[in-house]
Amino acid sequence: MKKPSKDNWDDLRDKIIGLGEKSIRKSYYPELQQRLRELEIRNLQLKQEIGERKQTEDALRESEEKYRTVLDSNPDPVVVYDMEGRVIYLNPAFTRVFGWSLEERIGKKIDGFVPEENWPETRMMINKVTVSGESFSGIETRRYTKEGNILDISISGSCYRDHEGNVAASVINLRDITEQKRLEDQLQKARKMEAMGLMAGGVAHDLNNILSGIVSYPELLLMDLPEDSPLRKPIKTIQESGLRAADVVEDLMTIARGVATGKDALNLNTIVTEYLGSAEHRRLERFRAFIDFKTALAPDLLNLSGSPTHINKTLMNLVTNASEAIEGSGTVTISTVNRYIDEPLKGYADVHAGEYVVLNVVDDGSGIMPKDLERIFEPFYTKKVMGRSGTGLGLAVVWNTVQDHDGYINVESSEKGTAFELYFPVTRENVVAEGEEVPLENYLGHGEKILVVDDEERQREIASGILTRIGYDAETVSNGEEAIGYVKEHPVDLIVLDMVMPKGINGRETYEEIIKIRPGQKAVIASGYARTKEVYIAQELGAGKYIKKPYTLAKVGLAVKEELEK
Amino acid sequence: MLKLRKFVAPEFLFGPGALDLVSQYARNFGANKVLVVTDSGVISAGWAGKVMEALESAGIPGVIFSDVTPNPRSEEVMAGVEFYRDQECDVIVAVGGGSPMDCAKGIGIVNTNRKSILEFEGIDNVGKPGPPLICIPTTAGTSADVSQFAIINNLPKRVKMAIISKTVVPDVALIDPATTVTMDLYLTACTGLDALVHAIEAFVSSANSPVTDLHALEAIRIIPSTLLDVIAHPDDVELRAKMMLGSLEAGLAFSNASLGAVHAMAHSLGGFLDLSHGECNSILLDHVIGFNYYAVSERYNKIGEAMGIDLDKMTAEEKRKAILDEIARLKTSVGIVKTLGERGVRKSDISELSKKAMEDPCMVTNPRQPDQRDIEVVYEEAL
Repeated sequence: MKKPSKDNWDDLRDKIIGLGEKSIRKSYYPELQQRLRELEIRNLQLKQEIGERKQTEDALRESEEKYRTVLDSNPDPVVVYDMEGRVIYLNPAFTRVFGWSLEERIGKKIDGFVPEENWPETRMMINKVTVSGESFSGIETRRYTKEGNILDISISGSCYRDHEGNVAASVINLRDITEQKRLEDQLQKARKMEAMGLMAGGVAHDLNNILSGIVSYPELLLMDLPEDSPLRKPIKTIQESGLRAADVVEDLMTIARGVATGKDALNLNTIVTEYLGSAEHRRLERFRAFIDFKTALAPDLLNLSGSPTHINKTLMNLVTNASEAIEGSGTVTISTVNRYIDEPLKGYADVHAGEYVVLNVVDDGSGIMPKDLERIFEPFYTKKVMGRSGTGLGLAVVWNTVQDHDGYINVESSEKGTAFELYFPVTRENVVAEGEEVPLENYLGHGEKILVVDDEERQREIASGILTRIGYDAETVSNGEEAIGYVKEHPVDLIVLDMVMPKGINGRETYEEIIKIRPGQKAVIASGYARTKEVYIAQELGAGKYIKKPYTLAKVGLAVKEELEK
Repeated sequence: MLKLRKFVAPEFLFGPGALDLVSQYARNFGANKVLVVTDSGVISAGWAGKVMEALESAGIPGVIFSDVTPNPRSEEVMAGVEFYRDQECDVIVAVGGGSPMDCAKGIGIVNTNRKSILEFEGIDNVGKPGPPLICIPTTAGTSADVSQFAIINNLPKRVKMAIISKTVVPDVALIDPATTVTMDLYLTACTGLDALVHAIEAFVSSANSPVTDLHALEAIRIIPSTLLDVIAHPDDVELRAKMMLGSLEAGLAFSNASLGAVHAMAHSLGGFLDLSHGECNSILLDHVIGFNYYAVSERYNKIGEAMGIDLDKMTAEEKRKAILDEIARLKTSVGIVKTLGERGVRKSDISELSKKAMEDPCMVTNPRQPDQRDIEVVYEEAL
């Protein structure tokens, strides 16, 4: 403040007179006016701000709705967690797959949804998103459903950022891959079986040739040996061992897919009945005296198209296994039933819709452990002691037989027992009458000329040995070209023709050439392999019965006799 | 010489029953809560209670702030502001003499401007006016109810500071002569002489004007004889009203023409000794006239004539002496006989008193420009 002094005296006086003073008496009014103007401006600003905010809110709501629609229509389950890991949103797909509605999960954390053993990894994933803002995808894990089932899940996650760019939530996409994984497992299982089958087939073929000597020679030797020869017993033992080995090889061959020969119309009831009357089953019954074998066969059972030998073997293996599963006393039930599946059944293997005859073999034994159940059909997977009762091929044979018949297997097992269900597609063909058992005398020859064509020397010897023994005039050649040459010079009544001769032309080609020289030439086809396409072609051309190696006296004799008598 | 001038006065109601209109005016100002600034003397006299009653009957809540001493202090003002804010008041009513009214003015401007009261000292230093202010004077002399003056005692500096601003002119003055009946004789005398000094100083002020002259001279005509009558008949409301009118006229005059050395020196004295303002003025008045006389003798002569002195055929010095005698006679008649020395002023104080008086804004309109030594001499004469 300026203090009065001589210098400013007049100025101050003028100020008191006050024409230029800044204050006025009621200047509260300008003050109020100023405030009013400020308020009006502020009011306008506020209105504008409110308008802008509303616009922003509308835009936000619209964008939120858009995102919500996108998430709502996402076919995969989606859940959104806030920064505290609490659920703030989940979509309808989530409810469909996991069972929980938004109301049931909102505000909840991962407990009850994520299995406890998956907590650490889940927390790590959520942290990755919320802390570092990174995303992840395609991580396989597992989640509970509301009912408490566990689903296999492929999980992906990313973060949601607010308008300031800060991470505000994590958006987790959970794809249900339970079905996909199950199919993958099935496929893997099938591939494994196929690979093992391929290997088994290869081994079996080689073994088959080797076994021929052991199986066939004893038969010839025994014919020459006097009844009181001390060699008879050891040779019989060799023969039996050989036959048993041949059985194993036979099983191995079955595992090689597509080998179940002879798809004739047949009835499961017949097979069951015949099996129950067989020597093998009677032996089993003697051995397992405390087991009650029951049957429940559908009287009107439809036919199936298949190989009786394999199905018989399948049944035998199942019944043997069932009885072995029972310690002490128990019951094995064999039943058959017609079943029409109108919706695919998901079981051990998937059963497609269609008409089926079903073979059930059920025991009340101790059951199969779940982890074993996964692998019981694999070749050589056995819980039994090797060499005592099984080869590890029993259920592999069952599996392959069913596969070859376009059928399905379902297995259910618990502590109360195990049930095998075998589904075979129904055929409407009628059952062909089985040939009667033919006694040896019926297939003895009368000196007819037989040419044996085989690239394996031992096979030639066995075949000519058998044929000579039963009264034929047997000659041998070691390949197709030789056979053609021979036939050109010497007419023969019948040719026993090996199909597979890798070094030269094969059996079918040989036969083709031969019938050019000798139209209508009779022939019997022999092979260690299954009845291949080549076999069918040869048979189309006129070749007769197909016999599967190894040769046995009965098989060769019967086939030759039958063909000659045509 | 014709000069451009202005005249500032609040709306005022003069007459019996003016006080009762306080509620009407408070309502018109949109009062939600009224701060009633007063002092203990006025409360005892019952006037504060009457104001509160009037407000209450109109349904307007009021709170009393009465921590006001004669010569209101700056810290009292600041305390009042705090109370005003705490109580969320929006209108101020001052009821009392100069002290409550000046304090109320201070509270108003401090509240609005959010500054210390000390920052408004001087002429035209207040930015914004305070909230609505209704003044109800209960003394006839101060004229704070119509003036643009507020005098606040700056205790630490031992000086009374003058705040001169249009912003401290009240919004309305409710002048009810009946309120002055409760004054004792001494206070009546002091305030009455104060009013006379207002009129005399305004008239001789270097900022005088025709309109202020009218009011000043009328006041000078009324006050001396009326004051003596009031002292003789203190309960005569008619006389009190006449005295009140004189005071009002004096107030209108000095509020616009300002004052002079008497007030400048009285402010210095009041800050120094906490003496009654009216008494200070009275003691100093004749000494200042003695000093000023020859600067504006014509005006002083008119004052003398207005006081009823026959100055005809007198020499200048005779006139001067006649006027001074008349003033001295009046002082004695109403009982103000003590000198500054008797009131405790020592010779050694005079230098400091003079220095401060020289810095008072009232000094600038004194008709004769003094230097400090001149003021020291006047003080010495009044010792």
